[in-house]
Amino acid sequence: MKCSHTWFDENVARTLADESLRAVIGQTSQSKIESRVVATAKVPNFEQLRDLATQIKQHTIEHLDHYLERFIEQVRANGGIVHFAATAADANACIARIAQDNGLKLAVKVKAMTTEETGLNAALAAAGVQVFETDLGEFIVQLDNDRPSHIVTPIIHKNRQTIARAMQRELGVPYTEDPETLTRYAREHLRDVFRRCDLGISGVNFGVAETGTICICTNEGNGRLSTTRPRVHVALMGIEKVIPRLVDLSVFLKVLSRSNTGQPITVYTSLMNGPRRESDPDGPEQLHVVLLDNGRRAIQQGRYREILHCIRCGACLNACPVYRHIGGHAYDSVYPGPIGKVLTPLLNDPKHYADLPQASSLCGFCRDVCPVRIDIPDLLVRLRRDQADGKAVPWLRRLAFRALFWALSTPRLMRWSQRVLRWGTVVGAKGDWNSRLPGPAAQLTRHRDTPRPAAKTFRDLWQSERDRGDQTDQ
Amino acid sequence: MRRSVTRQIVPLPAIDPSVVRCCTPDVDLAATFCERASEVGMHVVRTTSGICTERVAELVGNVATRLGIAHPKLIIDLQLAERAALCATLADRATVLDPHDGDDALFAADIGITSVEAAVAETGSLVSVSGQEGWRSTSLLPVVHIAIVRAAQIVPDLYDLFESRLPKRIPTAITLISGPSKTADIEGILITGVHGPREVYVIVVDK
Repeated sequence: MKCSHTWFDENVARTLADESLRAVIGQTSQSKIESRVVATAKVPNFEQLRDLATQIKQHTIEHLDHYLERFIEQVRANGGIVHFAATAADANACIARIAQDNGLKLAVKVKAMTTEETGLNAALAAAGVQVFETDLGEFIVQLDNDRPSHIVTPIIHKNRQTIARAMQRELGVPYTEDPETLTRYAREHLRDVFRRCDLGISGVNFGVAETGTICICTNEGNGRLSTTRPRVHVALMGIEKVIPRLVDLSVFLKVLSRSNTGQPITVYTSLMNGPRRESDPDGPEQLHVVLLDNGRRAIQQGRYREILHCIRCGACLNACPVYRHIGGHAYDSVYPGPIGKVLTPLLNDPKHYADLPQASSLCGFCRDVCPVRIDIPDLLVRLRRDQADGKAVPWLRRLAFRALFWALSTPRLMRWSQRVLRWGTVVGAKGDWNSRLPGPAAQLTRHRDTPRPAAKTFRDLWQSERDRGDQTDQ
Repeated sequence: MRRSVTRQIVPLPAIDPSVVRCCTPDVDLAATFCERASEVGMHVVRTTSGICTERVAELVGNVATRLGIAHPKLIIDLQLAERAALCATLADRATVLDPHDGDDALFAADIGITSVEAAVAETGSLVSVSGQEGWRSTSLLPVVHIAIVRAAQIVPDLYDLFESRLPKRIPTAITLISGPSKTADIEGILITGVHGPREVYVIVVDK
């Protein structure tokens, strides 16, 4: 049994101890899951839409190169500039270079998971670009020098008091616990930034191969401001975000926000087709699309490509009983929750994140709410099997499971080991239960009692019943 | 890792309108649109083309009174058919700014009045496009947005919008607006008017 504690064990212990955190994450997630149920029940063909969304994603990821080529052609035809980034560092360097080449100094950002993944803010700061997060949640994260804990609602872990203190300290505004006033402070502060900014950075929800359209879904309006006001717009897009046709958007937009907040559609759905044309009175002069690989190509070639179907709705986080208890920070990863348990070890060092695929009860709620029907439990089991085949499992645990396999597949050994274990657990036992096992087995009884093998095993009972039957027959 | 031979090759599925549509063309589109637009938090007013200008002017007055602005500053979409009539009606009650004056005008405006390219009944969405004097900022920077939708512009579903309703040469920016700017980032409490308009009024003009 594993005795050493990993960073994940420590994170879990720490977050579990924080009862108020658990309460707020539990409540918010529950209310979102309930909104999802209400919203999807209003759409009679929702299950068929999920099927369609799944098939389109399957097809597109299967033919990723084909659709990426078309997408690139169309973006260029619209007057956009396409860049390729093999790694996170490449993406950051590319965007920093765009900023330097154009003399851009003040960037506004729309919340984008790809930029979290590459750590873009730090790279731009190093290049002398001042970066403002403009999504309210991300803005507060940045003010408070914190990290987001959910891919859609980044400050689910913060209460109004901590937010108020951060604004008071960093913006010099009066302390208030009124969310409306706090929101107005952010609006006023960022209005001035939107007036002066020269670089807008966004992610991409969907990239349409047919038309070269990039689609961004937001609620606050910062997405529109950040892609309208600055001179240059840079979109950092994961290569798996491409979809074949414009009309496919009607399928994805219908399932995306219903799956998370329960809205029929986000307040703003922005479809952008290149930089400002002569007939356009406003909008950015340059549009750059940076295509990010950063491990996705390898996933697409392998056995986990299904995870690339993800449209980042966040429903699996809201559903996950583990996420609801430990929150997003415990995963120490850009992508927390069920999606993160699969994606994070695949995109990063699998050894460092070896605990994540294990941190699931495989209850399957994530699969049930996934708009593109990703079978996350199945992927987790496959990841676990890979770990067992590789060296990610500690030798003591491997030895224990090897012994168990041997015992379970050899009848005589099974019988013998049950007897041995019955007597081996006698120290500290209360009847058929033991609450204080000795040595390395102590881990088994740290949080719960462990049952001892029965004094009379099933096989003993079976044998004696048969003996009795034989006697009555005679 | 090798490509598994048993991997299923899925063809690109056809988009069958009878499956995808959540709202079919046989319903009362204007009524459905009004209902859904209200559900997502927009204020809907139905009127007929003859009295559209008066209704807008009246609305501007009411909004200004409620926001406590004595003499509101407006930007009016240059494509809007009622623009000249509106400017004349509102001449003594409001200042109409010219968006060509740049950021000073755009950031100063209290109310933005726009037409739309289309509207979607299913989601209650306004569809706004850039180009031909269509400013992306008009429906975005002011705290109040008033949109004028003609009943004939309403399509049943997102499917109809993407399949056939968009201009042949796709505009630089197409924005679907479905409600006032919203956030629930602070403790899940819904607040309107974060970065975009706090109030959106939709005037649906019947023939």
